[in-house]
Amino acid sequence: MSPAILLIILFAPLAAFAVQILFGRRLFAPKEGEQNRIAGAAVPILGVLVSLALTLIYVLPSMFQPTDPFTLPADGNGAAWIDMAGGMELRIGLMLDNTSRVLLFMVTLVCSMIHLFAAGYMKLRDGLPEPRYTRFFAYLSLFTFAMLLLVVSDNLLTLFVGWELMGLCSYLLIGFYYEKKSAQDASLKAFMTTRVGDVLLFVGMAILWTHLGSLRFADIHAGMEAGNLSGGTLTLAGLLCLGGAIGKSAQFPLHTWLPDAMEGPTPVSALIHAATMVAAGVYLAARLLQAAVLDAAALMTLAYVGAFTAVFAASIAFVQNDIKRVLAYSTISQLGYMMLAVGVGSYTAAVFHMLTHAFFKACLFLGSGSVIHAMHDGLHHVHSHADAQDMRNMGGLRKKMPRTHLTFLISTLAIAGAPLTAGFLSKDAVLAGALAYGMKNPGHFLLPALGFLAALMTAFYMFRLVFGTFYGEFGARANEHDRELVLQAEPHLHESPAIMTVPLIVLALGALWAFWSPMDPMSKGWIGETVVQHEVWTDHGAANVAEGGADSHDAHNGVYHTAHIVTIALSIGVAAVGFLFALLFFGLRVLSSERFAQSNFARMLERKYGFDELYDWAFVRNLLRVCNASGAVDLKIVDGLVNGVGSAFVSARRSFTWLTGAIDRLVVDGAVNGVGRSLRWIGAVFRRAQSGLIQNYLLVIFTGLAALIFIVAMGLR
Amino acid sequence: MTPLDNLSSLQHYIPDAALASFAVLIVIVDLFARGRSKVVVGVLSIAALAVAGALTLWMPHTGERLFYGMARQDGLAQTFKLVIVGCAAVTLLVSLRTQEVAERLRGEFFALMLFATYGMFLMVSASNLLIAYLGVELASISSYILAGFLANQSRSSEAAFKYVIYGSVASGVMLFGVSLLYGMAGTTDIALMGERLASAHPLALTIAVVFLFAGVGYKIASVPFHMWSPDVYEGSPLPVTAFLSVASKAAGFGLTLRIFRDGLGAEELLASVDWPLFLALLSAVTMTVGNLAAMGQKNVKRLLAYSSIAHGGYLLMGIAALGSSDSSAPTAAILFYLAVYLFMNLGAFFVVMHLAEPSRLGSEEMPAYRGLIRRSPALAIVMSVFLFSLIGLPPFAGFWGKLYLFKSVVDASLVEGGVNGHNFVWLVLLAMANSAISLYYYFAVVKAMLLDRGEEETPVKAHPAFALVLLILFLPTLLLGFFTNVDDFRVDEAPEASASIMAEE
Repeated sequence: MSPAILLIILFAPLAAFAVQILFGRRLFAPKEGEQNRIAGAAVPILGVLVSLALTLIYVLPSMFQPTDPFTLPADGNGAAWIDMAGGMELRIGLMLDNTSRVLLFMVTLVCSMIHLFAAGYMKLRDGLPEPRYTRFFAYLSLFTFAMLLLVVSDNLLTLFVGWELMGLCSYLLIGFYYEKKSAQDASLKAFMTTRVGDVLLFVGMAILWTHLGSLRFADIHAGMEAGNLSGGTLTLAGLLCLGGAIGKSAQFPLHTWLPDAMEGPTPVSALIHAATMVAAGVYLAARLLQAAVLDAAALMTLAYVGAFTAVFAASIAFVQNDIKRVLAYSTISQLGYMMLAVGVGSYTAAVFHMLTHAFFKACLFLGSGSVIHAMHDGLHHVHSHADAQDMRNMGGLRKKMPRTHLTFLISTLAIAGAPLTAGFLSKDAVLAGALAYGMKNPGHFLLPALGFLAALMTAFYMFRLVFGTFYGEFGARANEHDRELVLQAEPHLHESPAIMTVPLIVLALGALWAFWSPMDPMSKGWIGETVVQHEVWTDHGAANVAEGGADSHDAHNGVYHTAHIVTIALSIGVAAVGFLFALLFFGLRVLSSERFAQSNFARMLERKYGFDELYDWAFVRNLLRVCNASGAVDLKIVDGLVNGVGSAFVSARRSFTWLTGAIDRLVVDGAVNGVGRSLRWIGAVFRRAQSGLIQNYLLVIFTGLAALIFIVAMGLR
Repeated sequence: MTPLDNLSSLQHYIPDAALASFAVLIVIVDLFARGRSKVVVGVLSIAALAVAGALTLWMPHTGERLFYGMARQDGLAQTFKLVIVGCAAVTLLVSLRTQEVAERLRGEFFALMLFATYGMFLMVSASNLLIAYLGVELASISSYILAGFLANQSRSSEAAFKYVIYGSVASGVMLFGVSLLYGMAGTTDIALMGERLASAHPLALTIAVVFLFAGVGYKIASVPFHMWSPDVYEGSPLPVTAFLSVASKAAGFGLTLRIFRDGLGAEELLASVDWPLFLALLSAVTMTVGNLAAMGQKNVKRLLAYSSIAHGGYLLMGIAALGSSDSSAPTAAILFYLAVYLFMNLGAFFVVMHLAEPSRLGSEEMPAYRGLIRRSPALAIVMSVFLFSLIGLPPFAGFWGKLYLFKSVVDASLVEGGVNGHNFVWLVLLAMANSAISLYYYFAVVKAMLLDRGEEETPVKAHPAFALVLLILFLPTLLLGFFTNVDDFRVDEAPEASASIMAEE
């Protein structure tokens, strides 16, 4: 594989973004009164498909050849980016080891499917052509690029660049319908909450850099082996870095942003919750584990955070009625699993579950998008304002939407951990790791116990979702106010077009067992064979971690072997129990959940344990109070001291309102008669550039700056 | 020369301190003045500028480094301050009775003018990038409000709004550049940083220098940071436009000169970042863009606004020539040109302003100027002289200004090694071609006034007080080239980043 291919894979989406954001609207926007065409999404789709194709041809096969990681620059030492006095420098580079390779495959594939699905899904909004169709795909492309950059970085610095780019993109995409106040709030919440984690991560990176002199994973690992960082500082650095991962992966206590992020268009939810953003947190944690930055204390903290989050989020999912919110909480819960796996040292299991989860969760989200799409259309036809995302307005959709139903069902089986699905394999690996850990350290029996409990709960609420949406009678549980109209919408429901269902089918195939582990159920599967930790970490207190974790998946590995067999039996058992309860409550309805729904516990769940209120009370409101107070002091002092100057400010402020009507007042009619017609023409061009629009002027500043830097840099000697 | 501590700095800082104190005093007096006693505020403001100007002129400027090396009291600062304070004083005189600023708000107007002037003082005397930034901000923020002073006119409000946004972005970029420089040099002292930057990474240094230039480039309206100026010049009250086009530009050049001469002039630095060529290219583009855009402009105020961009381009040529071994000749040429520019540009702007009053022409459009020679011979002739001087026709002062400026660039190019290895004679030729272009549009105004026949025949009378101000501007425009020359404007040499400075660190 040549370096150029890696660069093309990485930069094709970025190039697509650049083309789309600069020219997309001009080239592809529909004319007045026309519908959006797929052409509006063609460039980003092409960009991500190029990445996917090259990954499939060049990157994925090389997983199976025992080679060193592919690096760019080739010597594996990275290139100096910033060279500071005193021998300090920041070196960066790209690296493909098997983890990156398989993630590259996952990200490009899932992103491609989401791009395709969105091309159909985003065409309309409320029955009218989506006005920002082309821009949406520009953001998607940038998001894809950010995730790819994160995956192929060989260092924390460029990883952080991709990380923050994703933060930006998630802000833009969650707030895509910025006409809605709730979407604005959600985008801000996502941005601010993850920012808390990002600051912690940044401080952690700073500690690593000052002690180890490099942010490259290889150097960090080498530095750790040499013992350059240890003791309390190491624990602190590990915990700080994990803070970033916890924020990004929406783990307790920074989980509140993710359910609100459902305000974004559904393909965005799929993108954020499956392939990219939340996976980034797990990826970071796994990389840190691999680089031996996490010591025993940090790992244990992570394991408990993960296990607790898995159960905690699953319990909230019990009572949600919004189809996307259920999925959101299930994402948090599944991410908890992955964190648990990292925490107990099961590196392979964490990566494996991240992969399979990407497939079935993307499929679930896109499936819910397909349902919402149909519901929107149907309700729109009968002019009903009932909620298109509320499960109680659905039911019996299996007959109307057979393809969506089938793929949704497969994915649900996968997430519940039913045999013959990908989720079964990966969840087993996670739980086996946890159990082995618990068996070695009986004091921590809670970790596997919580893991199995979460598995039971997952099966329960996921089948509640399936039964509520696809089985039963349509609209039977709608509230009385809406029921009449909702029932009328039934004939208008229809399966989604092929551009939306084909991605569903592709993703559902990835959720099947056969793809990941073709033959022998006791073999490691190709993931287990190829994605292994480079080396066993140094012995800074990690001895009580499960021996080698899931990568020692072979049958002769004492504790782990026992744990694995127990796990298979137990996890099938708990999944079956969860399914059975769901069937009795929501499928056959022989048991009633009415009494439970009226209990105080259910009410607490509905309020998500009150964390939103708590944060609002503890942070948001106090912060606002501080802001207001300092603002008030400012005003008073300014007012009191210099009343005169103050009034000048007031008049300046008043002038803002005058501005609205003033657009392009420039009149460039013909110039004085005489010589120099061509010169005058050039002059007119300059004056026309003087459009009166401040945003154009600022554009000139920044393009000018870039051009100047380029020109001077060309002349550097 | 060792830096002085705060207390012993004060005695050298009297002119600036007086100006600042007066500005604060005027704000307070204005609070209590009512009705006719508002006159006091105007008188006080003029007095403030007169005192500051006189003190600046008579205080010895020995190159002291004040306030632990934050500001420098040297000949360069002195000359720039005189240009600035002169411009402010004339502007204030004119706006004493302008209709554009409401009587009630005049006190604030004056106070803001003084604050802006003080900000510009800071800019030209700063020997530390932080103080320079402070000066830029103080001058800018005062100017924003001044530009939007006609709050009931949407074009004025729009001008202020654009100015605020544009200025904030530009100064923000500049601050970024300062922080980068600080990161590489470990100091924000202009004189100290040059030597330390020599070993910095050339690309990083390039970015920092370009960013830094964004801030001063916006002040001097150099392409590509010039876009604000036509809109702001057109929308602002005319006295403000005149003030901005001269004083603000002069202050910007003072800072630019100091940064490039004292800060980035070290030979090792020139070897790594070729800023003379960079500035020469900018100069070429700036003068050409300014002149071409002014061409065919029918609104005289806007025409002058565009042409002042072109004059900035000519001056940048001098800054580019600072990269030669002898920086004192281009410095003197820049100072001389600015002094000339002060008179001729202010004069032209004020004639436009006076004619635009409803009792006279009531318009800034060129057709209204037709046949002015029959209606007011004096105003028409004075205006023609200002315009001829702006073109650079002999024997008016503008000609001498251009002559010395061009000569300094040619001289610098022809010595051994040229300007950092470049020969900028092409730039001078381009500047001459540009002067020819400017002839075309300036002369269009002259033609309208002197040769065309207008519809109106009623005489236009200049206000006597205003005529006096015009005379103050007119005489130097006519005679400056005969009574003084560029050698009178030679100021002290660039301070060496000498061992003495290093030793005290």
